Amino acid sequence: MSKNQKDRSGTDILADVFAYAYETDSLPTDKEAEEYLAANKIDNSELENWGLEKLRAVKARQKLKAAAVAHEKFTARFEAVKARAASDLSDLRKRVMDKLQVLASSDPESAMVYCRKFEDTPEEDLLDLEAEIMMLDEWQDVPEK
Amino acid sequence: MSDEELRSLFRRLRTQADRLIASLSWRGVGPKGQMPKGDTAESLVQTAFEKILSGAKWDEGKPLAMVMYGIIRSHVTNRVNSLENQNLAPEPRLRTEEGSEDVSVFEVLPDPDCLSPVEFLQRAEDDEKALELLDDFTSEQAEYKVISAIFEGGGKRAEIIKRSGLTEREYEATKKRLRNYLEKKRQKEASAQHKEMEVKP
Repeated sequence: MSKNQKDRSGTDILADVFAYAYETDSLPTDKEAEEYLAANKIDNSELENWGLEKLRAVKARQKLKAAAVAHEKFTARFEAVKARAASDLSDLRKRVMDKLQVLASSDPESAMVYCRKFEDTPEEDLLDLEAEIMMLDEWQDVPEK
Repeated sequence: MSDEELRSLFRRLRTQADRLIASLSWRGVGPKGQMPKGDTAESLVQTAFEKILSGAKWDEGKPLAMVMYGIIRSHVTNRVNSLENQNLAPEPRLRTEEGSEDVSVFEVLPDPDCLSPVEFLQRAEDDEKALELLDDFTSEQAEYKVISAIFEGGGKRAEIIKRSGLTEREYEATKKRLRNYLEKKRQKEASAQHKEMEVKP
């Protein structure tokens, strides 16, 4: 008999016997769990619904946080573009930027994309870009069916 | 994580928390599966989930179910240890010489394994319970073979099968029988405890 075996106390032995009988060292499969809960007449739906609610609340919080971060990024970029264009701002540029600002309040991620596009668009294509942003804005105003 | 994945996770953890509580009856956990401080299998799952949601750190290579079960186990162990410390009788005291003051028995007879008084008493109590359990069966019964295999070599599946001489099938069947036996024993003890409480005013 090894030293470890000799040193096993009643506490170790009871822990092992109960762990064996109640299978506490490994998790049951979903099927085994369903059978166990049914056999013991345990209704788990309340606990499951509680978990789903908790998870939804966390996801919603994460979404809001991500939206706030996106909006912050947009604002920083927008300000930088505005500053750069300030010296030679045409009316058309001004209009496009106003529309971008409006779009940012409802959809900061798309606004960010258009902001980049705006930077790369030459003067002669600005009208098309304005039309595109207006169309996007209108689509967002259409209520979902 | 989809809704169905979460439901499945919660079913598995609720089952395991319930089994874990039941498996601790020998450590003073309530007869109907109540944990100290009112914890239940349901609240244990909730506690573990809240810890995960509030950003508890874990090894991301490990499945979430195992991580949550780890949280449940450690919570239960802490609760049960503190319950045992509360329930233990005061340490026995001895008078060494005529007229001298009482001293703790542990000061006179120090434990060779350097256990604290609390651990020493707990071990003695558990030794007795383990032997009682073995005596509940005859040496021909598979339950006896499994328990004595655990006495000799620990709780690993392969070791138990090897030492007990049981087949895989017999090993599984014995597990169920032993669990039923322990459940009945627990219920019997609970009802005896209940009667005792009724007699006392």
